[in-house]
Amino acid sequence: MDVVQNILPYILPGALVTVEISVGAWLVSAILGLILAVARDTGKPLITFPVAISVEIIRAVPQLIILYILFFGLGAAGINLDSLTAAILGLGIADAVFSAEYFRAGFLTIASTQRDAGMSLGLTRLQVTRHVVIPQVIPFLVPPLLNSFVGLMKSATLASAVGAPEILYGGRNYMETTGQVAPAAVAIMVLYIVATVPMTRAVKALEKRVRARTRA
Amino acid sequence: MHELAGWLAILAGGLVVTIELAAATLVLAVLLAGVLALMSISPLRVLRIFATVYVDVFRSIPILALAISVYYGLGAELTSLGITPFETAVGVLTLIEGAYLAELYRGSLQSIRQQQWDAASSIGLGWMSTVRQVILPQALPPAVPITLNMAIAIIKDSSLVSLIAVSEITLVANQLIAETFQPIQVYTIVALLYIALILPLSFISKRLEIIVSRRLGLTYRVGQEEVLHQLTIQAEGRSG
Repeated sequence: MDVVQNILPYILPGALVTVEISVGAWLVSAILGLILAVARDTGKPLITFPVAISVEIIRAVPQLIILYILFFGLGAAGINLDSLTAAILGLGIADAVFSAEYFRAGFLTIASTQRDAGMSLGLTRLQVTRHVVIPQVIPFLVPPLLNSFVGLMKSATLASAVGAPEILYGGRNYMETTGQVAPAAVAIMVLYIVATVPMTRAVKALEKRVRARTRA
Repeated sequence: MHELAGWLAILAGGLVVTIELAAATLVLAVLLAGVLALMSISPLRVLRIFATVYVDVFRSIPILALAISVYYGLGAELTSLGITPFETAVGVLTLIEGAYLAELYRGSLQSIRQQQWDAASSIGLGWMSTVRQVILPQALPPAVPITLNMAIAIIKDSSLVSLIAVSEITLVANQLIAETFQPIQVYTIVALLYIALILPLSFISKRLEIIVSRRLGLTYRVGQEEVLHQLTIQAEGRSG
C-alpha cells in the first residue's frame, strides 16, 4: 500500500499533463487535417500540389524528429517554445497528415453528382464542401478521429524527451529517486491499458453501428 | 561543404543501424503477427483468448514506456546475459509492432467470407488444410502492402530507441548537435535521410495496393463502409 501512496504524486500530475497534451495535439491535428483536406479538395494544382508534397514529407519523418526540430531547432533560431507547446504542436502536426487522409477519403465517398447538383444551384465548391459534403461524412470520421486520439495519448510519452512533465516523465523521476523501476513501470502500463482498451473497443462498436446504419 | 560531407559520413553510420534495427524488427514482427493472427481465428478458445489479450495489452502500451521500463529495470540483467541494447530495442519494438500487425493480419484473414469455410468443410477439409489451401492464398496478397506500411511505421518508431542508448541515426544526430550546436541543420539532414528511406517504400506500397485491389476486383466498387473500414484500420495501424 505504501508503494501506491508513494508513487501517486509522481504519476497522477503526469497523467493530467498527458491528457492535456493529447487533447491539445488532437485539436491541432483535426483542425489542420481539415484545412489540408479542404485545400486538396479545391482541385487547383497551385494549391493541391504543395499540400500533397508537404503531406508526403511530414508522413515520412518520425514524430520525435519533428518534436526536436520544434523544440531544439526553433530554440536555436531564437524562437523558444516551452516543452508542452512544442509537444502539442509537434505531435499535432505529425498526426494532422493522417487526419487529412481520413477527411479526404471521407469526402471521396460522397457521389460527385451531389457536388454537381450543389454547384448547379449556384453554390461555390467550398460552399458545397461545407454544406453538403461535410455534414454527411461526419459520422464516418468519428471512429478514425477517436482512434487518432487514442494514438496521441500514447504518442504523448514522446513529450518526456523534451522535458514535458507527462506520465512517463513522472515515472522516470520516481525510478531515479527511489531506484525502484517495477512499481512505476507497472503503474504506467496498467493506467494505459485501463484507459485505452475500453476506448478502442468502444470505437470498434461505434464503427459497426455506423456501418450498419448506412446499410439499412 | 567540407563540413557537410563529414556530417553525412557520421550520420550514415547511424542510418545503417536504423535500417538493421527496422529490418530485424520487421522480420520478427511478421512472424509474431502471423502466429497471433492464426491463433485469433483458430477453433481453440484458449488460443483465441490469448491472442486477443496479447494484442489488446501490447497495443495499449506506448513503445517509449516499455523501452524505458526494460532499459532501466532490466538493463543490468540483460547486459550480464550478454544481450546488447540493440537486441533489447529489437525485442521491445517487436513485442509492440507485432501486436499492431497481428490486428491488421487478422482483419485480412477475416475478410474471407464464412461461406468459404463452409464450402471447405463440406468437401472434408480440416482447419489446417482450409487455412493453407483456401484462406491464406486469398489473404496473403492484401497482407503485402499492409506489411510494407508496417515497415514504414517501424522505421519511424525506431527513432524512439535513441532514448535507450541505441546508436541509430537520431542518437547519432543528437551527439553531432552536442558538438556542433547546429540543431536545425543536423535535424533537417536527418529528416531528409528518413524521407529518402521511406518515400520509395511508400510509393511501392501504394502501387501494390492498387494492383492487389484490382486483382481482387475491388476498384470502383468501394462503398462508404469499405472506405471507413480502411480508415479505421489505418488509424489503428499507427503506434506511438
